[in-house]
Amino acid sequence: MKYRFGMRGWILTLAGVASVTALGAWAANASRYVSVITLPLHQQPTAYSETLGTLDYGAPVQVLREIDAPRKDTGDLPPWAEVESGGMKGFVPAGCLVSSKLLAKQSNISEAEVTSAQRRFSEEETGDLKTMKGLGGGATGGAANTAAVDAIIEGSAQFSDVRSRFSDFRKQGRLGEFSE
Amino acid sequence: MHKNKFLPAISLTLTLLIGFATLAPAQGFLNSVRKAAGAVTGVGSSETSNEQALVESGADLADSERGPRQDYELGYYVSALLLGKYTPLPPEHPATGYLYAVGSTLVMATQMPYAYRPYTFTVLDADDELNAFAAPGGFVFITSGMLKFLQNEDELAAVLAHEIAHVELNHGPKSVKKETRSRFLRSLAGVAVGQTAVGSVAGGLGSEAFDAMVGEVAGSVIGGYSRAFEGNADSRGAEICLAAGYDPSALTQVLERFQATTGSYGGASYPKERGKDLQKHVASLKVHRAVLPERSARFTEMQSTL
Repeated sequence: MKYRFGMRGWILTLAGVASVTALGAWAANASRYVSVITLPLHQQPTAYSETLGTLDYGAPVQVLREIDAPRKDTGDLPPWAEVESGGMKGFVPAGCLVSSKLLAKQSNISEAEVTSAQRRFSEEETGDLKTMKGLGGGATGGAANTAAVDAIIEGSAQFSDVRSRFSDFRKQGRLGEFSE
Repeated sequence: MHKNKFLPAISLTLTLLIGFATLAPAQGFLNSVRKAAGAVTGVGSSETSNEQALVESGADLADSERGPRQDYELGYYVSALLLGKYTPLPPEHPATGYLYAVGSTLVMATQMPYAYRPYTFTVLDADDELNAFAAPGGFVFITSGMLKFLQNEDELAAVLAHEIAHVELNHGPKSVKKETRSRFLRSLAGVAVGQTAVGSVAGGLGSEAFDAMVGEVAGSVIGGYSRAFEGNADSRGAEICLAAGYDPSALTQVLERFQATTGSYGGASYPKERGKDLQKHVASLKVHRAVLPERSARFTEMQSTL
């Protein structure tokens, strides 16, 4: 009788191990999606560290763990996360990842809608501009210059890959990974 | 015999403990996912409960319902409004390249170094104005007047770090009034607003509610955020400078000269004791870095191009 009771106990234990382990694995490896156009995968949880590869917008990643963000009196900061994607393991800022729901919603907007909408701002909004705080009534109108923003974005292409592009700049100034 | 009887129970207890320990690191992430899902799918069966749920969740919009893409959309239009007033120097101007070098070095030290599109840094052609701005999504601006006013690279880094801190701390979306945020959320959910059913477009682009949000954020970006947000950006900016290798106390020097020149620390939106508050925070960091001559030399060279 005692022997049979022991068997049942062991079966229960094994079932517990299986279910709790599965639940833990599911939670720790929950899927998220890259929500920036290009996301470098870093060797360490800092953007100064070597990049192991890049992840494109919409790429699914498994979050393995989050690295505690510094919590100062300045407010909550997003953490970094150790992730796995496409057979690569590394670190990314967790703030660059979103849920499938949010990704699906924002993916319905075409790039053209964002960058070349050439929207006209309402009279009310133009009025808001005129009364903006700090300008002391100095604003002379609310003309939105989307072409100038497009030009800035286009011009920024010559400064891409800032980690390698400005490596000598940081080295000379003893900054970033070269700081003391 | 006692061993056989109790061993399974002990094993089960240990297993559960290990299981919960495994779950623990993922809790923060799961909570945020639940929060986000709640904001979208937690819409009740009636319109009243819809609205109530949305109004309640409106306070959390900045944290739970936005990602880098939404910040970029907001920042794009805020920047468009800003550039309706200012003329930018061209990207090939030497000062622009230098600004990218300093700004990128700082951004890499933050917890959010990547935006939907890479950060942009722009010099605004305004010699008579001492100012800098940052819009959500990583659009950073500084006037040529401010570049001439600053005395070395560490001071420039301090001013830029303050602006970058606003982006990192998500101050733009957080500065939108609760009512406007709720209106925007209703537009996302396709709930009727007044006579107009708006917002079948994902992200709310083009909706009146989105316009209102842009207007409010632009007001904060140009005129200053709340005193609390400005104080936080000062403190976090010092931490970013420190992490990047710059002198974290550089902003205190800028503020003292700014106050002596303009008679204020930036206007009504800034803490009255801004300089003292920042000094206190910098002292708590317990690190002082000397300004390197190499950094100052290249800063002077950049200034000569203006």
